[in-house]
Amino acid sequence: MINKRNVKILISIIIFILVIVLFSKEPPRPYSNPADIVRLSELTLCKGLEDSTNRPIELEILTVENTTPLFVCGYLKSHKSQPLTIYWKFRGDKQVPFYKNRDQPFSPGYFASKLDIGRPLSPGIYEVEVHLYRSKIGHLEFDIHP
Amino acid sequence: MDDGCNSEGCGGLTQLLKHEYALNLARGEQKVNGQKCREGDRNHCSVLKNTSELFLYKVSPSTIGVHYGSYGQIGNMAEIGTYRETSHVFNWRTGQYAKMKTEGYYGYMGAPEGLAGGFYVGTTKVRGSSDIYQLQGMSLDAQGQLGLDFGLEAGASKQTSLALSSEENKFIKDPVSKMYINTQQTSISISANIAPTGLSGAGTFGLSDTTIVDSYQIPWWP
Repeated sequence: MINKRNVKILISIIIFILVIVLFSKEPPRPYSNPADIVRLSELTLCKGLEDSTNRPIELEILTVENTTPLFVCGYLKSHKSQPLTIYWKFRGDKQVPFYKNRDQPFSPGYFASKLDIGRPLSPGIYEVEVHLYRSKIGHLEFDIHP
Repeated sequence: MDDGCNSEGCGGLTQLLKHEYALNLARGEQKVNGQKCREGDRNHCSVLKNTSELFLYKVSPSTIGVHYGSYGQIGNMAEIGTYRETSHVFNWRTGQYAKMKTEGYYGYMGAPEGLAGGFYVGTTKVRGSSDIYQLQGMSLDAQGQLGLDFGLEAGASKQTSLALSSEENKFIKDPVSKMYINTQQTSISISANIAPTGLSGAGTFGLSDTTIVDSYQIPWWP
């Protein structure tokens, strides 16, 4: 028998089913931890990518004079472009990064991202961190000589 | 990393002493950085150029937006539920926009719903996040809600979420702001359930997973 209460039950069930249907249309989760399927290797400092080979141009020695331009280079192994964020800072325990690169997205293969604050870097030890979402997938330290 | 051995020499020292050396070096560097920054060498200053910028991170949400979603739950006073949500958010500090999908599960304690399903819409604000991509991942959620329930229910809710790290299930701090990434949502909802109570109130606690499905960086953003 259809009474008011039964109508409500029916409405609830219908809405519940509707919700379940809506859920099934969600896109599949690509991954829970991006670092599981994305690999970063050969992280180093360089002078950019060579036009002909698309490989990093090696850097000999780091002095104040040759830090402009300076690039962080690496090889990204992934099935698609990834929004890497590159943080870099002068080394210090509590110091927060003073620069963040927002080049994006990074295509699979070799990449070069410019570390540029518009003037030569002063001597000392610097740290570079490469993040993919909340995961740190690469880390590099370099020393600039006077 | 220089554990102190490169500059000081560590022949025959214990791990503990090496660690002490490393800490002393780091503390020394911090002092040097602060001094050089004050003298005008910007390389030694942090990205948070002054305390007002840090203050901004603390008092204002770096990311704002809207969300909408649907949910379903089952039980009797102690209930379990799940929701799916879409949000559109904008980080005004970096000029990044993102469309995100969230899938969540929760435990519910409060006025009995029996079997319920509904839809909601509201505003989102995130504190502490310096980059939109920090929003993708798992979060721990807590929510309080109130409603007028006559079978069909109209309600309002407040939810707070803390971001968890990808590698280990602990709260993550943003690399720039050094703050926990805290998402706060205010929503209104319309739903139906089989156990009307007139006035209803409840609290929920759960886990959610957010994925960025689309994003855009405004190129000219300062």
